[in-house]
Amino acid sequence: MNISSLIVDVRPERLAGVQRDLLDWPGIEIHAATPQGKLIVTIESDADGSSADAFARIAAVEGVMSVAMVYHQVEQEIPDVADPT
Amino acid sequence: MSLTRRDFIKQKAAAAAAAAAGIALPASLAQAQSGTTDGVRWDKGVCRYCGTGCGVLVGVKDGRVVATQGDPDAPVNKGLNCVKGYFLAKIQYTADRLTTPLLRMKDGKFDKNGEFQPISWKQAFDIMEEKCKATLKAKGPVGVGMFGSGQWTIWEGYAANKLMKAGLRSNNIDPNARHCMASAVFGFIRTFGADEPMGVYDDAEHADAFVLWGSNMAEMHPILWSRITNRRLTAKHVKVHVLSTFSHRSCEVADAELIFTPQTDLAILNYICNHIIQTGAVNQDFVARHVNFHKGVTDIGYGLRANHPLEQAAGNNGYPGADGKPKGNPTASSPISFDEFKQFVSTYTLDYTAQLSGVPKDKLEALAKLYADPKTKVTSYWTMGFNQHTRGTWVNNMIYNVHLLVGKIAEPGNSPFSLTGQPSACGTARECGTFSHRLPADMLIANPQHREIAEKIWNLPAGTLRGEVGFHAVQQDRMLKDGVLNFYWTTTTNNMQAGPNLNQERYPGFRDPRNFIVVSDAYPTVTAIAADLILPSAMWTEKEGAYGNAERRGQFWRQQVKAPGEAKSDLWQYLEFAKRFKTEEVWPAELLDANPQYKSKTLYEVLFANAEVGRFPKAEAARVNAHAWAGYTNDETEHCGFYVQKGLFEEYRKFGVGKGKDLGEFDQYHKVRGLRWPVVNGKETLWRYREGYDPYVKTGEGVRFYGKPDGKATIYALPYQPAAEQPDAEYDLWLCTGRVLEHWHTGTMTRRVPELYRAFPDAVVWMHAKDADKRGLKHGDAVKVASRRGEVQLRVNTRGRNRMPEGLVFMPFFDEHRLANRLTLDATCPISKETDFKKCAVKVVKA
Repeated sequence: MNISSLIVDVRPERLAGVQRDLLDWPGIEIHAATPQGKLIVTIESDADGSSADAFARIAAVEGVMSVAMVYHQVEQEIPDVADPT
Repeated sequence: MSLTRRDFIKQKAAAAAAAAAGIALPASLAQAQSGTTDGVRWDKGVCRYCGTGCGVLVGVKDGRVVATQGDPDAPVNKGLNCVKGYFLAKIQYTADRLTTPLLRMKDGKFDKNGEFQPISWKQAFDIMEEKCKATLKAKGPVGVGMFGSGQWTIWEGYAANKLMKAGLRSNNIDPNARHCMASAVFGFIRTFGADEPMGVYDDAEHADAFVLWGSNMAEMHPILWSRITNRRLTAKHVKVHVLSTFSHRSCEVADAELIFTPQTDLAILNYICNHIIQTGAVNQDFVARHVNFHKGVTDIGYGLRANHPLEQAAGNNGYPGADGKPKGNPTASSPISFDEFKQFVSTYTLDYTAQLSGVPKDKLEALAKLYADPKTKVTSYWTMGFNQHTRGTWVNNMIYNVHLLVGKIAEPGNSPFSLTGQPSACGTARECGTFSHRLPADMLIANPQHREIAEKIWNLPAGTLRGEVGFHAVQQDRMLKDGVLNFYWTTTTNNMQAGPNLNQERYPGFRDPRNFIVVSDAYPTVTAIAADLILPSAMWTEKEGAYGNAERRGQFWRQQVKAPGEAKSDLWQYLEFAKRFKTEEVWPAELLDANPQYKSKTLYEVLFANAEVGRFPKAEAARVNAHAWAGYTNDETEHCGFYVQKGLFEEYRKFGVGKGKDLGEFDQYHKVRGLRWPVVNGKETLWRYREGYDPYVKTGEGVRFYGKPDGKATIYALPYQPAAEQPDAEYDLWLCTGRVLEHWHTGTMTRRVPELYRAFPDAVVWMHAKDADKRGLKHGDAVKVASRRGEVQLRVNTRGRNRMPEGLVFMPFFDEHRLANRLTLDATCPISKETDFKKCAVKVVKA
């Protein structure tokens, strides 16, 4: 399981529509939105790499000007990681 | 995983993004940011990838990196990540990490044609020692060599350089930075007498115009690009011009894109100078006070093998001629007057340049006017389009010609800025002097005074260092193939995939029974599996490290986690290998007879565990880093019994102090988000060569290019000349190779991150739809791309992020299953010896 966060810059006039589009997809949450068009978004996804698809989908939404990435955490059953100590 | 824990992580992630965006936090998120640490220890770090040098915060839990975030306190990236940096937490944890040394064996012993078998470190060093000593006995130091990279941490590169040049007395050490920015280095040295940019990233917030020359920053330096696009969007007057041989993502923000015929950048630069002179826009006062004019020799060849017809015809390539003496010197130049320079560039008229380059006249003129207008502050950025060029040193000199003529240099917003591709191409490869011709702090191995300075700092007998220039990257390939170089150690890089013309010039040398090849890496790369012995390396946060980015910023990080299995840092590997040699085995008897105190010592004792490098006890690691966490130490310090990273760095600092190359003190770097050199009295320098910013420029001098004895930079008269190989009737297309956003260079790390692999799984070849049509191809078809040197099968792409002009195709080199360097030509800039990966001739047919 991966949890990651993004800053999405949206043309202000499309703010409501973009939020609706994003919330249609599973695993996406919007934590804050400013009238200037900044959204704080988190994505929850499987460890199979599907969060990259979510970035591409968000970037392709009409009205999205840019997507910037900030935080990424991997949560998993921790396998037998070598730690010699 | 409990719902509360999931929600907690989401809130923390959202809080970090809100902080980076500079927006107020909803109360619930503010709590997450300041609340419990959830058992995750956070510490500052530096991104593992490109030369931008973004700060990242690294989160560790239960001995494992579990999270990363853009460091909000890092001046470079202010909390943001690109897509590669975003997934950094994953790069150390892939199923196929190398965790034990592997040797090709048959019947229990080394066999060049055997299968890889796990062995112990002792066995690994035993066979390395045997092969290295046998080579030294048979060939002397010229038979051994090392290939490293701009991914070496500062102390790793410094230690490798010292081990090779002083210990084994071989100058055959070169970094992969040779493939990446040697032309930038020679350009700096030739024009200014000192390496590295005068400007800083802050230029991005001051410039009125940005010009990209052979650089797709939107994909290769995305965070720096975000600073430029932010400037472009918030200051309405700002213009962006992009010059390239094809249209790419950076062009999307551009006010003008100038798509030129390959190699004609040389002519465009001369046209701009001509325009500046003809329109009376020369900054006469600046030029009179700060600039000399020279004319460079031409007819310098193309850095190919000496028997190539182009080299036999060249009069100034420096190769041995029929009489055995060098044929001229490709770097030579002679003084000329301003009027002679004016005359020289006068033939580069708007009509001629437009016709040659294919760029419309109005676009060329608009570009020239940007540079000429005294009220417009211009920052020029370039990367591999300039550097990977058979006239790479020239084209670097020529962009400085433009900036110098108008005096737009070394002040906020006016900045010719050479970008770098690797995290420490500047900090390690260049500054530590790990090139075959260099020593630390811009000194040269061929200069006896420089060798004397290095021998004194290293406390070595006079004459320990040898003066002949070693084999550069491409020459190493040739010498391996020719059986001259027989013991070869490649570390921190994947050159089988990244170097040019691998079919004809590199792979044969790796597999030649005369040669023993060692590769240190974290993963089984194409290079590793072509070797005889593979050493498992610790990577990134599994060791204490330091990188230096493109704006002269040195940045340190602490060891965060243990490496898996038996993997060890490259520094540990060099130190251990040094223990295998006694001075008697590597230094001449006369040197030791004159300096008997060095007798019977190991290279480890002479070079590393000595009074200088060994002077900081183990406890120093905890003291220096006490602000981060209590009881800090690292694996090499525990192993050596002294804080070896500090000892190496503090010794290394001596090279630059007082010479304009001053680095800060070791302890300071562990506390701050990097420092830009020269660091004088603990204070960093933003714009070099400019009074008020650079402490080396005295009051009243205004500007002083103090790398040159007279304080003046040099403008060079240099012509347009054609590429080494051009399309013809059979190989009818230009091939340009390069990178994509999702993958870093050869993809060793990024192709192992599931998200990045999925985002761009396989290399494609981009082509104009008409070119595809002519060959009966359509988007998505499997094709064969062939050059005179090899062929590759992949799919053709006629749409998408890169839009080709007719006659040129682009193929990235990240994909180990579709190796672009089977196709490329090993032609180099004859001065910098950097390969031109941007121009060779290919044909494309249906597969």
